[in-house]
Amino acid sequence: MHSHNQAEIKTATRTKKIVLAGNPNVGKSIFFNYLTGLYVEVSNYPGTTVEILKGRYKDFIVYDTPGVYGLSSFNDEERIAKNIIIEADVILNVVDAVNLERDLFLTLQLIDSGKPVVVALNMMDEVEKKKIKINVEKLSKILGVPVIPTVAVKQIGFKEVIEAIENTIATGNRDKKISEKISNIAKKFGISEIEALLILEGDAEIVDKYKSRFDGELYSYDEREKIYVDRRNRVNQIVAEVVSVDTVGGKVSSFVGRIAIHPIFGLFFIIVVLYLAYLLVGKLISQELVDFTENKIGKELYELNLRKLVANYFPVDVKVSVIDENEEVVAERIFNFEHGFKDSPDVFNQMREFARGKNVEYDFNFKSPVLVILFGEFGVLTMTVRYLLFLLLPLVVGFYLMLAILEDSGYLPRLATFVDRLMNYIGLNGKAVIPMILGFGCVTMATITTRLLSTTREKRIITAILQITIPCSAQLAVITTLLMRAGFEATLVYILVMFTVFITIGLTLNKILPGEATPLLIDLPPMRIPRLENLVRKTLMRTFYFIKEAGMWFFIGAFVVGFMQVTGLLNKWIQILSPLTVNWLQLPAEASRAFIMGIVRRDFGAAGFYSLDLTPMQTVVGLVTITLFVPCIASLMIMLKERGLSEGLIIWASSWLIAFSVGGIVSQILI
Amino acid sequence: MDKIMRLNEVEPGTEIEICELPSGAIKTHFIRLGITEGTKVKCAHKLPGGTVVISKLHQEIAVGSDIAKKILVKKI
Repeated sequence: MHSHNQAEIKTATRTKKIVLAGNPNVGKSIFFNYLTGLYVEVSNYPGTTVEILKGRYKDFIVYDTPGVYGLSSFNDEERIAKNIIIEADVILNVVDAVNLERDLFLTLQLIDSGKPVVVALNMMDEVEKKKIKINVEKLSKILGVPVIPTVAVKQIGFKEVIEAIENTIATGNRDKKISEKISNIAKKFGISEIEALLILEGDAEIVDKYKSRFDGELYSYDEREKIYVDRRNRVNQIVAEVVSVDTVGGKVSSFVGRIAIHPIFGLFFIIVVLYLAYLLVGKLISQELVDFTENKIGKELYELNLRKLVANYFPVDVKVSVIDENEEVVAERIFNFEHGFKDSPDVFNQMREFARGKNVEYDFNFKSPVLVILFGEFGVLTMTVRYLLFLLLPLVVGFYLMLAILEDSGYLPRLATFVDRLMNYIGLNGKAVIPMILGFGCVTMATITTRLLSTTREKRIITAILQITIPCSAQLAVITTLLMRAGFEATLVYILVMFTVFITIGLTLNKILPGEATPLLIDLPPMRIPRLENLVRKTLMRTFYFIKEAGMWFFIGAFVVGFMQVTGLLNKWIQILSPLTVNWLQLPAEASRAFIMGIVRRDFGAAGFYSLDLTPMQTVVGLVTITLFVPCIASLMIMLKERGLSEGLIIWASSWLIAFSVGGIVSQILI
Repeated sequence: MDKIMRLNEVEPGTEIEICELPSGAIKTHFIRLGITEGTKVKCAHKLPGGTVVISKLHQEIAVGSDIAKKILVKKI
């Protein structure tokens, strides 16, 4: 997200950019959705940190930015927001009218930047409820920009906002004390005014950008603290002039919000949240829905018919097994088709007779290696499609929905506060709980968001924890299903083991890495009931990305395994690993196959245990090993990019070591 | 009554005035969030381990124990 001096090479015909800016949790996304409609591009995900949304409104390009409290470079979200704002033609600044004192700081900074600004004074309904009175006209006059009262959730004031955006060209009333300095710097160095302001405020990134051109001269402009204090005082003065509150005091946060950070009840709150999540994802989706989609649609409808279709024309052996109510095979027969079904109608009729009216399972053995790779047990077009569409898709939707609910409800910052002290023990602050929770969605995505943390030390610790111990939604989905099968005891053992490893890695890294945790300082948004429309949008967008990203690796993985199966390499690998798998982990030799798939994708690995007949404790051993085992290729790539080659490879290699040591120890104890 | 103390020593529910913030990035962030020296806030919660939540009007801010130790306040 670098800005390439585009401000300097503006052309008259260029499409205008509307950029939405505001503090976190002020309702920006509702404005964005309203402006852009359905067609939105999410750019970021593998490459950069935070989700950047881009869409169109009439002739404008509309950008959403991450919520920030000001323009600066304290973390990645701020850097990205700042760089998009630098490119803006019009800024729509969404302001939480209830927290005017906090939000106007950014507003004044945006106005000081010299960009045209429209202020949407949002949440006016809550302002009324809280008996706060805001003199909007006066505020607009003081700021020198249009200020429009809105209630985003009811789309009140949207028409006026759009009208103002389309017509706004004027910039607001800047701080007189700095406006002259800004224009001087801008003129002297030939840069835009917003960049001049940032240089004046000593913004490290902008200073760095120009320092080669102006030697050390730029450093002399750091007046940040003075400007900030002045701006803060101006905000307080403005608020004193335009806001009057009828009631004094009152409860700040809702009952739920207070419970969430209560020393004792907060813990119950976490348990309730986790239980609800379990009901949604663990029970409803991973058991009932997936059972239907995977077995009924995936296996019986899709795979069977696809294979039958292929078997019409190509040589194949079909093993038909008759199964009774106890899922046991009572009869079995193999039918040979030298040149496919069509060529041997007699055999085909025999097979039909054999299967008629019984509960049967078909096992297709294609003669051609190519067909095995495409339609066999691990077929690129059979198993891969089934896993991806009928097993993973419903589960991933479930997990992303849950994540969206957690994000939109405003619970995450409270959770961060609640666990702050605990996270200190593993060298992190409460904020690190956010990448961790996101890791349960997608480790790759979470690894990127570790940039939110301020020190290298914290990034190191959380990256190692994420890549080694946290299972991603796709893997978790498969794990949940397998654990449900294995029973309560197995689930408990699994959780206990994983938690112990997690704590041990954290404590160890905290001990051996020099330095200490940086303290927490965050604003807590009020807890709200998430808006369904937003949840659906977020979930669909992320799911789409997931399938797009993961899909390719799935096909590659299936191809590799299929290829190895056909060439006999798979059996070699199983043999090589078998002392480890059979003697040390005490799993069937075929479990090695899961590990090979696990290198490609984590969930793919766990899914490899699906077809094996494991005892509950073997399931635990297998799952512990595969969870701790190497992260998927996508997240390995991101980790190497984020943490560098040597550190990334050390973490990757440790995951091999830790996975097999812990898995083995658990196995020796349990089995 | 204006005994100066550290934020982490304040009982929850007490109204306080901020006397001194640690300088540097922490201070800049406080300023942006709306808190400067002289701002009146309330200590809303104190979590085990020393993380403090302060409130001001309709706003709540969580302050890690290590920062709370460095903030000087007085009762009002």
